[in-house]
Amino acid sequence: MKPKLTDLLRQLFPAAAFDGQDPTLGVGSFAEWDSLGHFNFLLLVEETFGLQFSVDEITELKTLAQIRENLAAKGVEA
Amino acid sequence: MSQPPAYAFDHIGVVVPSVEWGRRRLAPLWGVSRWTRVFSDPIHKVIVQFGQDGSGIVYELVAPLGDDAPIKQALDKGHNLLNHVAYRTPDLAAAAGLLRGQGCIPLGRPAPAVAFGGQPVQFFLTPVRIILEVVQGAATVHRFEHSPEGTPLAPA
Repeated sequence: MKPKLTDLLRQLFPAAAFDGQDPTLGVGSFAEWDSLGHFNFLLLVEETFGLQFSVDEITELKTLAQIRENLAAKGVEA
Repeated sequence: MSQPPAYAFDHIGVVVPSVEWGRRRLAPLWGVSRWTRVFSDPIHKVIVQFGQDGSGIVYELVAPLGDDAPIKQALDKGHNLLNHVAYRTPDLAAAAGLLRGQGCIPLGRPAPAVAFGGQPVQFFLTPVRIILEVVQGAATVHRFEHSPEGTPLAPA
């Protein structure tokens, strides 16, 4: 069973406190989720679900909700 | 099967508060005695200078240009200060495609870099979580003409 995006967030940022249901949860929501942290997260998402984002998607996907919606459009429930 | 691109090592990028600070501390530490001039790059929001040690290794000092410089995050947090490894390639687009196929994620689109004569560079985060910079260009452009004190070196 594939992990959820919130599981990946906890894996990458184990010390961070966040609300996985917060629709605004995204880059800058906590200190560790800075721009490089975000690229690390997108890379982890790609590796976990075996897909690739386009450069446009990498630029535009800034929140967990946006990433979840993007994955859903690719047929991935996360 | 695709052939690997023609890569050539160019430099190791190190984040510093200022190039003067970096030169003063790293020149004696790494034995860097030959420096290029200082380049101010408003596109990447960095000030950079390249230095070469006695064995030929090239270091790039990377300092923020302004408070909104992306590289300032690394300085503020003290993370990722040994920042990236850079390679030159005559075909950046081909190299980018190959890197993408190997699971590297682009940190942005190719953008011209002042220190490389306006040639495009592109950064990638690799699967081993090291940042790779790829520079369009077949040959090195660095001209090491200054001493650590900033005085011109005599021609070799």
